[in-house]
Order: sequence, then C-alpha cells, then structure tokens
Amino acid sequence: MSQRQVLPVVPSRMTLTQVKARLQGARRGHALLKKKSDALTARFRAILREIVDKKQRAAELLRDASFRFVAVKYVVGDELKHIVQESVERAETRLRVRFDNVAGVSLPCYRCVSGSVSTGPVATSTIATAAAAAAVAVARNDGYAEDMRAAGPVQTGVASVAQYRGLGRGGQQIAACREAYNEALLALVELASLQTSYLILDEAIKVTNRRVNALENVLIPRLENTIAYILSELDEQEREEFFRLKLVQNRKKRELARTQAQELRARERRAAQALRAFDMNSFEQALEPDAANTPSILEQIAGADADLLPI
Amino acid sequence: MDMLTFNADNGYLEAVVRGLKASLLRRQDYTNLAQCESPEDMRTILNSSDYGLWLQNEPAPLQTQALYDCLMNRLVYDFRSIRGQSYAPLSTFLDYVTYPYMIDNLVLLLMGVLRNRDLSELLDKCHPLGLFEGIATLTAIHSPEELYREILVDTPLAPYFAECVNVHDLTEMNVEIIRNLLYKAYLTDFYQLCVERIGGMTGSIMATLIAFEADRRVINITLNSLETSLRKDERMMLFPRVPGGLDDEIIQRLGRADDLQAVAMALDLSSTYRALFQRAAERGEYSLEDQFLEFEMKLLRESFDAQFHYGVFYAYFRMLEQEIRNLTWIAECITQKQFAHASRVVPIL
Amino acid sequence: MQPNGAAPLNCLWRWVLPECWGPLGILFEQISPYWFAYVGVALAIGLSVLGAAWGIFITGSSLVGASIQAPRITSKNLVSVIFCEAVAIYGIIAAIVMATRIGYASVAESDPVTKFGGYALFAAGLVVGLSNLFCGLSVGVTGSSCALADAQDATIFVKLLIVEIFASALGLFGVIVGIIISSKATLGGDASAGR
Repeated sequence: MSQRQVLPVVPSRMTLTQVKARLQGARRGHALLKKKSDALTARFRAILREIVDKKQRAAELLRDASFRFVAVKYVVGDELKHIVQESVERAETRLRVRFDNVAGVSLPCYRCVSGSVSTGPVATSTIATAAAAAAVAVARNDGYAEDMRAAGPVQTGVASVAQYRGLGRGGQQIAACREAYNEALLALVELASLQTSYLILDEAIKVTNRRVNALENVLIPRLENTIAYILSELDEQEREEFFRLKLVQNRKKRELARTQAQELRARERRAAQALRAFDMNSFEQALEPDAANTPSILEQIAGADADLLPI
Repeated sequence: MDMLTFNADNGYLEAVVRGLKASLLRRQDYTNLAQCESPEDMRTILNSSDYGLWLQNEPAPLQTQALYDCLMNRLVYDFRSIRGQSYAPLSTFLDYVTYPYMIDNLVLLLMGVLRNRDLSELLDKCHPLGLFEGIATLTAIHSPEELYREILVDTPLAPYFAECVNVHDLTEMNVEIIRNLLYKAYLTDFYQLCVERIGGMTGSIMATLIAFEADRRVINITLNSLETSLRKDERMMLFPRVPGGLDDEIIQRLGRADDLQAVAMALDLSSTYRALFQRAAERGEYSLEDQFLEFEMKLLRESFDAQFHYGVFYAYFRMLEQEIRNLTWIAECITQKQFAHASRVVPIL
Repeated sequence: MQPNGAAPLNCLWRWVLPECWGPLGILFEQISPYWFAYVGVALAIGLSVLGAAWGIFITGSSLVGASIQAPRITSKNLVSVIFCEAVAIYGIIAAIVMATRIGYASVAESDPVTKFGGYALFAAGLVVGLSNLFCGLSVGVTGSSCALADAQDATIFVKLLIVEIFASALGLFGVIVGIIISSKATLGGDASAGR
C-alpha cells in the first residue's frame, strides 16, 4: 500500500523540490477542474429541467399531431399515406447546426430552416415519418449527433408536396394535421438539441469528475506520500550521519586514551627505570597524580562499547 | 316494371346485400366500442359481429393496422363475391363503383412514373378494389407517355383519360388536378349510366346519391382551394356537374368565391347545404366533413327504403367504407388514449 | 245471344254483337265453341301458373338471399311461397271445374247453348287466369319485400303477412267469379243434363 502510493524516486533534495512543484501544479489543476465541473453541472441541471418540460410538451404535441392524422385518415382514407409518400420530392425543412461553448465543451444547437414556403395542405405522413426519425434520433442520440456534425445542414426529409393535396376531400383536416406536425417537429428538434447537449455534457462531466477524483484521490496523495517518504528518508540519513559522527568521535577519544595510557605506561616504565637508576627527576615525572586514574576509566568504557560497535 | 323483372337477375344479390347491411354495426355497438380500453377489448365485441371470422386469426395484441387490413379484406371479399355473382347491368354498375379506387391507383402509379419509382413496389400499395386486369403490365412502364398509352389501351378509365388529359398534361399538370378532372368525368359518366342506360328506380335513387357526391366535391374543392394558387377558371373546371345537383347560380358563386364568407353566402341559396354548413359552423373544428358524412349516411339509409334497384349495392359499399373508417377511428383513439373522442363517429344505422 | 236485328240498336252497343263485326264476326261464328272452351281452360291454368311461378321467383330469390344472413326467416317466409303456390292451385281448381263442363260433341256446334258454353268457359278462363296472374305477381312482390323486411326486423312479419293475405285473396275473387260463370256453361252430350 504505502509502496504503491509512492513514486519511484530517488529521495534527494532535488527530487523533493521537483515533487513539491508537481504537487502544487496538481493542486491548482484540481481547483480548476473542480470549477469546470461545477459549471458543467450547473448547465447540466438547467438542461435537465428544460428537457423534462420540453419532453412533456413534445409528447403532447406529438399526441395531438398523430390524433389529427387519425382525423385525416378518417376523412380521406388510408391510401393517403402512399400517395403522400410517393409525392415527396425534397426536404422542406432542414436543420442548421450551431455550436455553443460551455466551459470548453461545444454543444450543438439545432435549428429548423424551412426550405420553401408552402401554401396549401401538404404531406402529413411524411412529416410524421421525419418526426419519427427525429424522435428515434433523440432516443439514440449519440449517432445522431455524429451525423449532424458530419453533414452540417441536414435534411430531415420533411417534404413539400403538391399544394393541392386533399382538394376533393379532407383538405382542411390535412392542413390542420400538417400544422400540428410542423409544430411537433420544431419541438422535437429543440428537444433533440437539448438531448444531445445533455449527453455531451454528461460525458464531459464524467470525464472532468474522473479527472478531479483522480487528482484528489490518487495523484495528490501519492505526491504527498512521496514528499513524506523523501522527507523521512532525508531525516534518516541525517540521523545516521549524526550517529556516524558520534562513533568517529568515540573512536578518536579511545585512540587518544590508548595513546595516553601507553604514554603513562611508558612513563611508569621510565619511572621504574629511573627508580632503578634513582634518577630523581624522572621519578617525579612518573609520579604525577592525574595520569594514574584516567586510563582505567577509559578502559572500562572501551570494554563496554566493544560489543556494541565493533569498529 | 322493375318490380317484376328485377328479381330474376338481381333478387338474390339484393337480398344478400340487405342482409349484410342489417349486420352492420349500430349506434349501440359504437357506444360499446367507444368504452373499450384496448383494441383487444374491441375484438371481444366485434367477435359477435360479422367481423368475428375475419379477426379470429389475428395475433393477440390487435394492432390498428391489422384491424384495418382485416376490415378492408372483408370489404374486398364482399365486393368480389357479389361482383362475381352479378349479371350484366348490375356487373357494369358494380364496376363503376370501383372506378374511384381505380382513379386513385392510376394517379398513384402516375406519380410513381413521374418520380421514376419502381412501379411493382407501388402495385402493392394500390387499393385492391382498384385493380384491373391489365394493371400488372403497367409495372414495366418507365415514361408518362407509355403510361398514357397503356391506360388508353388497358383500363376501363380510358374514356375519362381521353376526355380530360392529353399526354403533355400528364407531366405538366398537377396530379391532384388530374385526379379531380378524372373524378369529374367519372361522376358524369356514372350518372349517365344510372339514369339513362339503367334508368327506372335505380336511376332516380342513384341520381340523388351521385348529385350529392358531386355537390360535396364542389363544396370541398371550393373550400380547399381558397388559400391556394388555383385559378378561378381552373376551379370551375374541376367542379363536377350533374343534373339535380347544386343550381347553376350557386355553382357560379362558388366558383367566384374568395373566402369562407362568400362560400357561406353561396350555400345560403341551397336549403340542404345551408343547414349542413350552419350546423358545421356551430359544432366548430372541421366538422363539415362529418356533416357531409352524416348526410350521406342518411341518403344511403333512405336508398334502402326502396326495393328493386341497384342503389342498395352502391349504398352498402359506401356504408361498409364508413364502418371501416369508424372502427379504425375508434381503434386509433383507443390506442392513443384519446377516449373522449372515441365516440365521435358517424353511425351508419 | 241478342236476337238478331231486333231493333235499331244503339250504335255504341252494336260492336258487342259478332254479327256486326263484319268478317271478324263471321270468324267467331265459324270457330267451334269447344275451341273457346278449351282455350278458356288453358288460359285459366296457364296464366295462373305463370302468375304463381313469377311470384315464386320474385319471392324465392329474395328469400334465398335474405336467409343467408338471417336463416330464421326461411320457415316463416315459406308462407309467401305457399301463397304463390295457392294461386296455381286456384288455377287448377278452376280448370278442373271448367273441364268437367265439357263433354263429347253430341249436339250441333251452332246450338246456342253450346255456343254460350264455349264463350262462357272462355270468359271464365280469362277471368281466372288474369286475376291469378296479377294476384301471383302481387303476392310475389309483397312476399319478396316481406322476406327482406322480416330479415331486418323479426317483429314485423305478422303484420306484413296480412298484406300478403289480401293480395292472395285477389286470386280467389277471380276463381269465384270464374266458377260461377262456368257453372252456367254446358257443352256436349254427357254433360247436357242441364238442358
């Protein structure tokens, strides 16, 4: 555990400064990412609320529209579907995509552009199909968004047809149905851009949060641990250094004591020789009071320390 | 003399059709159906009617489209069996009843040709009653000119096409206008068939029904072309005219009408349509079609009051169509949870 | 049997007399009363059967068609067919009654009684035949409508049956009159008991 949370560094003063700098950088990055994540989350919440509203509205509009289509079928008959499908020439409504920047995340913003101004009752079921396509796209948003970005202004397949549709029968119903579907389509496109933003934001927030968490829970602790490790290593080294100094001092003292004792012994020997020779001067030199006691104490310490530190 | 000779060829079929008409759903049935919670519930109610046989092979969660297909199959089956047993004037009459579907189908094919679609695909989408013998050969066609020629050779609609459109019109005219022109020619011809060639009771009954159909088209075309770029003379050209329909005066006024107000003023001269128009205005929201349907059903019901005429065949198939509309409406309302609207159907009997 | 040239008859009345018809009158004079009598019988049965048959196909075809959707009506509406059938039976009765009036030619054909018999049976045959023909048509049409109406509404049958009964009664009138007429007629030997 503690091994994993420590960077494999050589504990030294220099690495310490480096790691400290990295830690500082990580802290600043963490703060920034945290801020970004907060901003994204705020936007995310706002979109979420809006999506709930829009979804309900779109569902309502769609329900109304499909009901109107039923009314058309009631009056005109089921054959209308084929006839309308066959008479589709080109898309009447197209999508424009604009990108919105929120904290470095670009969000698509779809907008309906009607290709031609149509005057009479127009294809309804094709609108329905297009709306359905949009709805499907809303449902599985990711691919949709990709397509959008790739294609730029994309045609949704809403068609303008012969303007005299339903001349003989049911023109009013068809017109009403068409209007309802157009409205629903607008709501759907709005919803689609919200939903795409929602998913993109969701992803962005996840990434940001992962980064924040990674910084917070892995990188920063690891750096801190590394610093602690380096510090402790450095301390250890210092302590060892101190002890080593002490030992050297001790040895030096012992050396000194030994030389002194040898000197004493040499003096005693000289005194004894002098005694034998009755050389008064050298006798007095040998009988100096201090030199008699000290070597014995040093001998004792050296004996006790001998097994502790075999130097 | 209809009375004495009619039954020799048609008595059996007339009785069969009357029997079938008696088994159409009634107001009470619609009330019950409108109470249903799901299309499955509808099945349990419909099981006791003639549709039971048709619905029994449908897989369990009944879809609206499946229901519609079943009903349509039944209509086609009824029509074909009656057409198969009919003799000369009646069989011609019944062929005429299918011409509107045929017009729709041909217009669909025409659109396909103009858009370079694969016609064999479109053939599946054609209404089964509007198929005719040579229709399969039409799938090999690639240009409007060929289609025009094939139509003139192969279809019973050839006279109408020859009368209303020429080759260039096929590509240049709006298909909707072609459709309405054809329909106009068809109505006139149908009127002639009933009144002049068949005559008698059939003539007098069918004259009323066809005149109503023509009037309905006139009013609808007027209303639906108000906000389009259709010119006034073109509009007049599309109006089907049969004797016994709207007066010339009213037709002229409708042809000149610019807004709803003018239409209302023109219809004020006709007692029948004034009432319908006013009632529709009171009920609001596009109920003019409903009013027309209600009135049509009334006419169709009345046609059953007389015996020994072909009108009952026409009336029965129109009623069956209405029933299919009603049932799909209810099924759709139920599927879409619009229970409040489910009872808003035009009952037949 | 007006006395020939009894009085200057009213011009309006003159055409009734065969003698006044010129060549046509002579034609009638020359035709045997037996011919008239048998044609009368043939008319009686033939027209009656025509009426009955016509009525039955009018009723029958409707009945067959209507019974597909409402099988319950068949047994009740057989009454309509039986009414039509009854018309044929009237014809047969009348024809039999008339035929019994005709015997072997034992007297001269110019005998006024025989002549009377021939004309009488001819008239009776015409009366019975025509009335039964129209009766049959009438029963047929009402029977057909009755079958259709019964198929729509089961409660209505008994009321409609009365209409049919009245229609059917028409034929009976003809039969009664025909029998009365023919009862006066006597042709031929064995049947000459009335003389």
